Amino acid sequence: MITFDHVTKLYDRGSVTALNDVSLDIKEKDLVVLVGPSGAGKTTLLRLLIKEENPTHGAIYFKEDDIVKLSKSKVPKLRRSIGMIFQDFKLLKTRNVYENVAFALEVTRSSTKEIGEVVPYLLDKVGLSYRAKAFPNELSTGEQQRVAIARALVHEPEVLLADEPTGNLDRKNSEQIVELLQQINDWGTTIIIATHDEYVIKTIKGRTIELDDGKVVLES
Amino acid sequence: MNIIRNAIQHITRSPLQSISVVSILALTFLIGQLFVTVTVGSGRILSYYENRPQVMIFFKDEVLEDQILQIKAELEKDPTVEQVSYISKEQAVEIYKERSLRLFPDKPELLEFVTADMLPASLGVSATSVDTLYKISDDFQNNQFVESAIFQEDLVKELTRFIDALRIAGAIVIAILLFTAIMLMMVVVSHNIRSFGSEIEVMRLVGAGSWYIRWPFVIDSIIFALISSTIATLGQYLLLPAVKSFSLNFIAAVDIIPNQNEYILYLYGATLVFGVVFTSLISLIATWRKVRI
Repeated sequence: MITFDHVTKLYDRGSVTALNDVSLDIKEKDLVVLVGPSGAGKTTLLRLLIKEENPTHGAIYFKEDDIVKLSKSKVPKLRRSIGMIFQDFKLLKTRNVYENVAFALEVTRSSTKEIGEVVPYLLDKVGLSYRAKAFPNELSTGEQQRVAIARALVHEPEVLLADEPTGNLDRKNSEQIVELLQQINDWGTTIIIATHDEYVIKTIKGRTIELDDGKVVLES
Repeated sequence: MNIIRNAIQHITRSPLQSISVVSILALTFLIGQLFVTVTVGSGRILSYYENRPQVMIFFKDEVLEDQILQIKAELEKDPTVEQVSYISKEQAVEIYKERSLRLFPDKPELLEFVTADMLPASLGVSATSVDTLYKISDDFQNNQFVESAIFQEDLVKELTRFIDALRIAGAIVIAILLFTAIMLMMVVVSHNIRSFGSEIEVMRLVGAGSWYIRWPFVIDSIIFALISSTIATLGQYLLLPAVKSFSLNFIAAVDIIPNQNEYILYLYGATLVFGVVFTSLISLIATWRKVRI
């Protein structure tokens, strides 16, 4: 489903190597944990997948499409197929939980009827129906991450990327997020988690790909 | 509807910036409209002078009316002379009184001591050929009955020179104001884009199209253009009577804008179209530079 074909990403005119000739395959419904120290290239790999950046060399395939060659006009569609969550959640502080999730549908001009059906359904799935009217600053960090997950799922993405999803969470909240991600994978969504959280690495049931200094050093 | 709502949010989030943009745009449009009025009006004034008798021959007091009418008849024989009009001393007094009353309605004393003896009788001559006018002017300068002969081409030339200078100055002022408006709008749109950075980032990540993100900023600019054009046109509507009165009293006895309401409507329409295109282009350039997909 996803193929990295000899991908290299250089920064600062080649003086910094984020990814060095990385090749890997990720299959449909896989749950992959990208591990490695800070600066190993985990986040870069995820950013390349949603075409936030382009690699310096190599090709990245999502199903049949080469993401590197994807035209700008097709990027929004790609990002609806590949949802993403972040360590800092990226929630809009001026919108409540319901509105934050609805926002992802509004920007794709979904109908009010659709929004009214999808948002409550997803809030129920992530266990936040009762907090629909709360604003982000009224939520725990775990709840904020669950809102971000609900938002990432509104377009029913085939892949969900999670960049350090438990980085700001305590153990209890981390457990809930890991459980939720595992559940989402069970529903059929391919998941790629970039983390250096030992708890996540040990708990999650999936493939592990270890990156170090921009290279794949271990695959299981 | 969301796009409109977003646009209104942009405007209300930075009210002082929005007021600055509207002010500079309204001023630019108002000066632009005045420039158009001056151009239209000066065209009418020039045409007025060009169609008036172009040589004025003023006669000495002792010259009799019959002698002047004889000269008139002689002039009318020339096929290149279009028209010769006679203004008697009495008619000259009437014209003086009428103009004085119009210019200085509160100074009736100006009329008290003016009698027909004090003003000269005159002939106004218009011709199809400038050469004829030069010849008439030169011939009558040295005529024994004539006090003076004034060739109005000089006046038209002077007026043309003045209007040209006014147009150049107006164009320079408008160019400066347009440049200022462009810079200010670029700064404000860029600032708005920055202040909506988190929303834009989320929009991009959840798959919003490029136009969905850019449109609200373009709509902001269209709203700015609508408000500014309306303010400028209202200003023009209030200033136009003063401009017309100034022209009527001090430059030429001609109404420079005869159909004022119709003219204002045309001006409003043109300003709206120009404003919308102008501001939309600026915001499109700003969003193109600042919003990355």
